[in-house]
Amino acid sequence: MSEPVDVLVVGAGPAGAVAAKRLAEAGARVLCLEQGDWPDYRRARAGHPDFELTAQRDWAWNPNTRRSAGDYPVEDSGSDAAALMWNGVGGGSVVYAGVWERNLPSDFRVRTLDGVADDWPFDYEELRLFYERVDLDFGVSGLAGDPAQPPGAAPPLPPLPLGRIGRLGARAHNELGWHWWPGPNAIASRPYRNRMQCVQRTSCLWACPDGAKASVDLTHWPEAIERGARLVTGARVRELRSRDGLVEGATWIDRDGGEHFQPAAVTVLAANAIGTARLLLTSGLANSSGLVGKRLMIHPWATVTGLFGEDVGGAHGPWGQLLHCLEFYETDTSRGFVRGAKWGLMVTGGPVGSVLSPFFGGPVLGEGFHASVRSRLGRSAMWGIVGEDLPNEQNHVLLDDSLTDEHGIPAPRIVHARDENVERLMAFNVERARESLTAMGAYETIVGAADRETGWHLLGTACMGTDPETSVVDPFGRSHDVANLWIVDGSTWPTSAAVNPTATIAALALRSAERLLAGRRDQVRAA
Amino acid sequence: MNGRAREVLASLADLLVPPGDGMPSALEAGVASAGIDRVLAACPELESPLVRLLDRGTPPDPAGLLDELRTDPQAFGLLAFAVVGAYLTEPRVMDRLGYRGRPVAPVADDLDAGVRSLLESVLERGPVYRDPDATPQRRAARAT
Repeated sequence: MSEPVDVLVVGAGPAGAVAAKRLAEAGARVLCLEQGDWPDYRRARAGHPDFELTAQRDWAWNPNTRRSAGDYPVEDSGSDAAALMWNGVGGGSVVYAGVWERNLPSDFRVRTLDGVADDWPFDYEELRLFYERVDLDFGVSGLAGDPAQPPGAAPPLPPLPLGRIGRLGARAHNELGWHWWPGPNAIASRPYRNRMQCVQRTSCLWACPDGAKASVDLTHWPEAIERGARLVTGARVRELRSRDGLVEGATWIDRDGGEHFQPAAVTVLAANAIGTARLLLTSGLANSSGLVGKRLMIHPWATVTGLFGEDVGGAHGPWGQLLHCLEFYETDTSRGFVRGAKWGLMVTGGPVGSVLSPFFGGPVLGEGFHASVRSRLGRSAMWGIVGEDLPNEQNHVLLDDSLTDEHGIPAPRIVHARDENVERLMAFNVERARESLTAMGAYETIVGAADRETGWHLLGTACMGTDPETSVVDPFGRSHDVANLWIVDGSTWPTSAAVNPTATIAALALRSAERLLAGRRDQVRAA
Repeated sequence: MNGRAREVLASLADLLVPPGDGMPSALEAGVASAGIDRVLAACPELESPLVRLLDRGTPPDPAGLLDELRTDPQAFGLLAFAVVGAYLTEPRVMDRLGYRGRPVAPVADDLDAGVRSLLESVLERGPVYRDPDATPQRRAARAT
């Protein structure tokens, strides 16, 4: 048996990294078990001719496609979206776009304002200072004063350039009277701490080879390790072991199949909404409410691409967001649905994607091939639209009856379907995005093909709340049932908001860590 | 890739990327020779499934075979990726398209007077988010 630690963290993605770093800074003995490995940036080939050939293999978003050593299978045939994730140090931040959005105040009061779903057990103001702290740690680029957000401290770095596309968007939205603002991104517009300035390789979604995008393998783990945290890779947690209502630690399996037990006074789960639910279900823990795995939320995603008569710079640039638009974020019931969507204006990338990517509506071959490449490469811009997915207990994660990972641990099965509200919400926003691109000067707009590979934002499955009968964890992420078990990832969200979630996941993880530290004298610990 | 599979690839390639618009066809760009070798050098894991797909003897009716392959999206996707990848990474093709890959170009601040003027218009339109504390329900909740 290994030496006991104060805090065992499961998962080395953004939530685990933020929590581990803060706890280690405060002197806690922290150990993190991560089933994957460190990213191998030698495989990040932006700048090489084979980039578009290898990116979707080495940095694939779907673990069922990637099948790396750290991955486990996800049975997703009953879901309208595949669960996308990166199982390794850095987690989803290795392959996210770096888009850095805060939830809006109304996201914390969904029931009060719109009469659906639930309120969060705290408000925006409670999280504001944590947002500001994680902005510093992640080195966010952006511009203060956005009228779509409450006032607050400026991000530490100036915004990424709008470029030609952003200026077209800005002018068009001013003409339409619609909101826009330079997009907040966790991509360094200037050298920052150990990060390099973005050099516009247009590869954010397939790992940044230049150290410009804030992935937590760069922004958090080196410092956490320097402060004494230990990070064990290739460590697949089989189950949490409990006794007398407390978690004693985790049984985990190494790369060679060897089984170990790591005792810990406190255990913190940060394995994403699929992995955390899977682990709780295999361990039979924290589920007196019956809600573990329930209320899985996956943001609906759509793209609308505009074609322009000249090169607008669409082939190059940071593949975060040049600007964002929250004009249609808030509920307006006259539209026929509740809640809304956030848009991010983006480049469209290289030539192979121009004829094969779902962003452009699917493959174009034969007769139209050359015309399509010429009309799209560099001459296009894309709105990426994130919509809100309201919680529904029919959308859930459970353990599959027969599928297992290589160690025989039951695989998660996800069940998810969009509801009518989402369909209306997305249809409305797609039409507005077409109007936006037309106002920008696009002579043609293309709605992205229906694509299952869009489940980037995995939320819910261990809902937070004050009532143990209707929630899994308390407002700080501590299990109602197991006093030394905490959940700090996106599992705890009562509702999904409609923005890219990493900023809020990080802020919540930091808030949970602070709470754990503040209450450590009274924290119930495993013996 | 063996000769038989390469021959079938050659028979299909120009159907996917024909000549036109001042651009060479797939075969003219070497897709079935250096092009596919380049793809397989980068992605050796594709060779077996591609050979399984193509090692069937030169088809008398390439268009018919292509139609048949289209009924299997996974198989057709693999073929399309191989041909398009081989074609669009050919240096002469990239050159004719004016595409120079992903060169290093540090971002530069472009918050100039023009952008600031555009931002002024946004600010003039005022906040676009809802303040929950501004609603009667919330005010009442806070008061209690």
